[in-house]
Amino acid sequence: MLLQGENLTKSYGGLMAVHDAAFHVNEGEILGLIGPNGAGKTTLFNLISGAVEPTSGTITFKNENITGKKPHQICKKGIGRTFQSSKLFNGMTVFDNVFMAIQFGQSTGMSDKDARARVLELLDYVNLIHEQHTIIRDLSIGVQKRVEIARSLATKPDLLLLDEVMAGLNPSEVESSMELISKIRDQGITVFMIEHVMKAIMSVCDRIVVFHNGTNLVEGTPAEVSSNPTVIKVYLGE
Amino acid sequence: MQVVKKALQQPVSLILFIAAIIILAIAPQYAKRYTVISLITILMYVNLTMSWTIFSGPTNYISLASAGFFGVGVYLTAVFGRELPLYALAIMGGGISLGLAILIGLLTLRLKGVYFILFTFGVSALLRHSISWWEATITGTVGRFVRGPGNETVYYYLLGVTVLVFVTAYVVRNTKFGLALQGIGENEEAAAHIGINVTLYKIAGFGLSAIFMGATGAIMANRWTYIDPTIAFNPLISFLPVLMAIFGGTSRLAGPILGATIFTLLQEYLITSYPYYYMLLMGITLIVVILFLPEGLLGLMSRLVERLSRIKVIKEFIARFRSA
Repeated sequence: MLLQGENLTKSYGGLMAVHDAAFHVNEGEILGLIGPNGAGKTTLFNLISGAVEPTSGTITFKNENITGKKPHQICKKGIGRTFQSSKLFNGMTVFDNVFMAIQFGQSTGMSDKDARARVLELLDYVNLIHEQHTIIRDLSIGVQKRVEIARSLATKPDLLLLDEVMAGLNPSEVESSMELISKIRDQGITVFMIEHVMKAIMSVCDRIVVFHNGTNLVEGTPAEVSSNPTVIKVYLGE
Repeated sequence: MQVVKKALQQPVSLILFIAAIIILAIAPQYAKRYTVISLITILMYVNLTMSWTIFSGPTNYISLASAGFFGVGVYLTAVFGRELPLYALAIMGGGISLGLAILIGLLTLRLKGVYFILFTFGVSALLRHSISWWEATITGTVGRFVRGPGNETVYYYLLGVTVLVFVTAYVVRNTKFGLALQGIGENEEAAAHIGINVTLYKIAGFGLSAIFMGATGAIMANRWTYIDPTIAFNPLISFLPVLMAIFGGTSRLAGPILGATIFTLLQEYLITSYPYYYMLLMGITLIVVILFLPEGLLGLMSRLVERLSRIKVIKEFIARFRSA
């Protein structure tokens, strides 16, 4: 088991964004996280990445308790993430965004020259080499999402958290995103992804966890989850 | 090491910098007394504006604590000026300001936007009023007389700080440190998630900028014979560096220098030539700059260069110059 969460709770005053949730991610798999809006999916990612501290519960990564650690520490431990609404360095170029992640995100240092070569390698990997000198704010949403992926890969993660990387993409972009995610996994990086595009999540994931009202409701293979009566009830109502 | 290499790759800027320092270093031997006094004022604002820009330029955390850090230095000289030599006062002024900045940083750097601005302004005011209160109720005295070394000594000390602050700003800009500050300014949450220890870098940047403000204050105190908290912690010292940095532009190192110098000269000129309309004219100038020159004087200059290079005659001249 690569990552595990137990009894996780996050409350904002009286509101329980995540309530006694449990989950685990196996090494080398693509795990999907689905659920209606407001189910607490992004909050769960925030708890894992250290953006938010849990009210109670523990998170274990590679057999180490990482609960309450700061985002920069968790990044160096090998968890990379993207954001639902892209959080890039908007005034900087695509190249510099990825370059910064290499400079700061890796636990081992890299020479300037090697870092530059690595940026080009990563941009080639996500098919953005021709946009390397473009300033982020001049790019479309679809392209920005790919920069986010490249930037999170630049921190050399063992586990990648993808928060709705397909939202707002056109069908052909969704198709290439799916390919990219499979490619990332084949390279040995475990993927944990939140997604609303059902077609994508059903075909790309090995396993799916369904969240509802801040807790894990059902989990299983895509086929099991999609035929589960509770899941259908949650999504479509009675 | 890489910074030194980079500096050597820009020989024109490097030569210009060294030439400027040499000219400024020998200036007092030849210049009139009044010129030296004007240069002191300019250097003071250059120091304050450059140190302000080190932190607030890349991070967009607009600090109004400058008067606090500067005032601590001023007051240090006011109190210990008779016992301690100027270099010791300058170092102590820098050191105490650094300590204060770290303390404020730990308390406030989680605040963002307008909350941070107001808090830092409050810190300056708190320091001023605390000292006033202390003097009025405990010691029963208000204000102190300073009899320090002459203008020339003050001038050389300030110039020394200018060199230090310039080199520091250059190093910060061209290393990982500057990159981290820039990342924080662009998107702090993302910066944290790609492994930047945002708290550490923010406090280090804030502290670094405070050092030179405190040192400048300790040196400048010798320019005034009488010092009380209102003079030492003058709120204008918080606002002027911000205005000067915007005036000059923060995209390059030359911006704050240009801004502080031209702003001070303009101020002096308007005060002496139009004493009644000085504030009015200054205000109009600022509004014009903010409205029409979003990148400050630097932006104006690069636009002018671009325009000029489009004119046929000049284009041909440049081409001929290059081929020669």
